[in-house]
Amino acid sequence: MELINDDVMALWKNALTLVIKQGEEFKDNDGRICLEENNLVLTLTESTPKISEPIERMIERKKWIYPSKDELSNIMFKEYQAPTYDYTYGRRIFSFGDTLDQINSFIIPLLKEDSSSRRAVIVLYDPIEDSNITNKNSPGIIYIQFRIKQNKLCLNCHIRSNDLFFGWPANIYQIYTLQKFIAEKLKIERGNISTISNSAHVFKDDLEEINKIIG
Amino acid sequence: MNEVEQKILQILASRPESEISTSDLVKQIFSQKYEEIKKYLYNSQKDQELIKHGKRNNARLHRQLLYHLNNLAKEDFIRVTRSEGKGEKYFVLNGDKQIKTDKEEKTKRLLESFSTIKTEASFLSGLEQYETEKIVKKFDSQNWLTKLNSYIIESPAQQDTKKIYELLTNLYPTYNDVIALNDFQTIIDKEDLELLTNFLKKIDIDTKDYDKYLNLIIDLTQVKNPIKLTDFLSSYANLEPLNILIIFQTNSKTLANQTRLATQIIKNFSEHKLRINIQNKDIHKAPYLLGRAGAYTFNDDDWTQYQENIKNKTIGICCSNTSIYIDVYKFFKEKHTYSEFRELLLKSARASLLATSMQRRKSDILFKTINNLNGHHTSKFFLISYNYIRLWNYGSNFIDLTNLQDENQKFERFRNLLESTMTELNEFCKAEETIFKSCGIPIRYKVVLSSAFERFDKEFMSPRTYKKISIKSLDDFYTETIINQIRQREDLARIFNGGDRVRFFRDKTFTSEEIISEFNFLLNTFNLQLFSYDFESLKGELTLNSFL
Repeated sequence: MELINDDVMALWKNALTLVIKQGEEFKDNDGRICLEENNLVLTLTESTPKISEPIERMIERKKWIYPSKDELSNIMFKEYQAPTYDYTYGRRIFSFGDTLDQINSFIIPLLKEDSSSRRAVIVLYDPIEDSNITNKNSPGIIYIQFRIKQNKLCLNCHIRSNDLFFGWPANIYQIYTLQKFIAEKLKIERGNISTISNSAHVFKDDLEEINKIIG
Repeated sequence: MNEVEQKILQILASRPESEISTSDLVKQIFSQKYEEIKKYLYNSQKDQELIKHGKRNNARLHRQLLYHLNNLAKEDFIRVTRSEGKGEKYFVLNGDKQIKTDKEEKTKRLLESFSTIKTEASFLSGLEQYETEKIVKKFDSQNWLTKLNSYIIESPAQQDTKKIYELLTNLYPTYNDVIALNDFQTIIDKEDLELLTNFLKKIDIDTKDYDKYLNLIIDLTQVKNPIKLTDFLSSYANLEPLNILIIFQTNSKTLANQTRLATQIIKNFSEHKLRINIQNKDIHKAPYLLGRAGAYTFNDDDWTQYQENIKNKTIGICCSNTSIYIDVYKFFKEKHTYSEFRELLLKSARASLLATSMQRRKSDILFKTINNLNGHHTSKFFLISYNYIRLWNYGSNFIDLTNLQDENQKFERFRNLLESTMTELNEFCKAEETIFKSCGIPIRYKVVLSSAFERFDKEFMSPRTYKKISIKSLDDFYTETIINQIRQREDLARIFNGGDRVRFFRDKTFTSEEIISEFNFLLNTFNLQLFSYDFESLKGELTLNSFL
């Protein structure tokens, strides 16, 4: 299933509505019941999106502590990982395996060299660290692919398990900041952003709050 | 270290940039006495006799404080920056010294253990109003963002007491309440008694100096040499260490097979009026810690996860990041409502989440020692840690707005309130974990409820309102009052997911057989994870005959 919209709030609300209406019930390993849609693709076509609106709506709710835009952006761009974290996105992107800067050493030079390349992929999942039966903490975002289409930088992001209510607003903002960073380096415009969520879900416990967002 | 001297260091450490005068220190350290003196100094009649009396007492306080200030100056903990007027001296922490000797090294560590990291910004926790009303207090509020609250070290991984002592010496600045040495019986089994006794003596001094707790967890089901253990416990009892507590892990079957050992423990501990802390391993497997703030433990599932996946990769495991206490009696006395109480618990949870995430972000600086010891497994050290919300004076005497007369109904109402609030807290924690995980920072975040100990902060807390459980004989355990009291605690223990300790005050003389029977009864009959026998109320000297 794919939902396409040029407005980030509308896209988010439509996705939440879809999962609530059509999602299958599923019990996670903490015993919480979720409604799940498999392989949901959400594509944002807007050229200048009000990308942070879903985050602002979450912060407004005041029921939770939701990270600020600065914090979310830091998580994506900060190579340094405090020793108490199992992983951070920034570390996986800019210092994978403590060695590889996937953006500056690979994506940008590759797309500069070959604008039609379909190899511009960064991986956040590290099998050495994450493919461990007892490890419950592995990244939600598995890989991000960048492609230049009609001289615009498009982004596809595969999320293995995606809480559409709590997680997606942060994820869409984070990958947007990454897209913006690379587009500026390549001196081209930004194009579509697609998230491909293998398990797009919401928790039944959160339905009351979700309905407030959907309106 | 003397209590007054500790307070002086804590005050100076809280304002490391500024000098503080003797008068200011008198006002802060002897605040109650000074308030009394002020009544004389500024009496409304301006009676000169009263003023003189006040001045004399004020001078006495100054002399008393100067004695301690001079001690600290002699030890190079502090220095005089200047003198003014009639001998008014100003002091600062002696933080600039080059570290040369062991003693100075210890001075530095001691100061570090009291100091906050200056670069750490404070934040509005949302609890400010309640803090002003003295309803809420963060444990070690000056350091709660920069130190861990409690953790466990695995004794078997350490070679001997010398290694453990070195380890502890480095770890004092990293925590603010308690470290427990798990499976300490393995060290007792293999180490010479004299070395063990010396170790106890040294850590007794250090834990007093640092004003922190150390627990020795002894698993009686795993003891190989009961005679050696008896000798060790006898040395411990003779020393009467204030901040070193022993927790015995056992079950009824083991107790039945170790009556001789149990007799000796009862004899030694009761003679010295030391509490016997017993954890029922049949009820709860994960170890318990006892600090100043209260009892700590792990959920059995978390503990299993630690044992299966983390143990031996790290030096141990972090139990808690923070403790916040709520004076329930004061809260309801101020006419706050049930919904406000629920709101307060959620605010406390939010505050501890902010504190935990700040700690994690700065973990490379704050927990450098721990990180070095854990190597690349250090993230696992924090994998199952908790944040504690501790309740004080929460018994059935709390002020009930519904004016219920029946104690059981009151208790039931309060228990329901706690239970539903706990559900909300769990949902909040899950949501926050999901949020952070979704954003690419997987953090453990779990708030647990427990009770607070009076020693959390005696001056701050309202006087105890709940009834002590006093036992004179086994028969008492069959009385309706005692059974009700224990059943209520059992009931609460289901909500107090951070663990709880039930204390019994043992009255009158007894034989060791009687106490063993009582222990057996408690282990077999009730679902108490941890109980303490307190012999403080014993009167007169006990003779050996009492135990035979």
